[in-house]
Amino acid sequence: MTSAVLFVLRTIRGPTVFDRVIAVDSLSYDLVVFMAMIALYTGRYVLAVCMVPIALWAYALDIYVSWYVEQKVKGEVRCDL
Amino acid sequence: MKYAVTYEVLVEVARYFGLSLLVVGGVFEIIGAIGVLKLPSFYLRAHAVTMTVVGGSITPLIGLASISIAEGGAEGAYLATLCVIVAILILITAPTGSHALVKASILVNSATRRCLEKKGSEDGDWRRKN
Repeated sequence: MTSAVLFVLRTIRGPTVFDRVIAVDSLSYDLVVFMAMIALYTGRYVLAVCMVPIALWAYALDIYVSWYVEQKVKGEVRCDL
Repeated sequence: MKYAVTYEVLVEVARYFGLSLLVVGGVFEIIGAIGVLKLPSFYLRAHAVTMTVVGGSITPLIGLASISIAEGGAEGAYLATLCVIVAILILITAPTGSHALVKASILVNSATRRCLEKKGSEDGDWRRKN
């Protein structure tokens, strides 16, 4: 929980978009572990199914953001960045 | 002296092994989160995040798989299999995503540096002199 709070702080404070994306990634992977723990200790094993889409969602966020930024930089080099 | 390793002993060993992996994962998680918050540049933060993911997410998932095997039953086997699959998935995808982000960040930084050199700012002048 402490680490999740620190990741949220970095997500809010992050100077660039990459910092925010990478902090959201870490939050998602934390959420995966939390869901597995909740599924184990409450006995509701159906909750564990959602771990796979969350992990894949974090990867998709990484890939989409990096692809978008790369295409933007390659297509048009703006000097007022 | 001969020890009798029974099924109950193995179950207890698996449970305490899983709990110790959970504790190790929590320590990694907090250290990585402090690193993400305190380190000065994006590349160092990416290193801290990768360490957090590998040490703080995969280790507890393996520990949870061990605990759920110790719980026994079909539900325990199901949760253990799912935990191991997700751990392998994270182990493949998280470094790949970090690499893609760092590559994009390097591209953006080099484009900004080229613009600064073109403008003839202080950074560009310093680069031409040296």
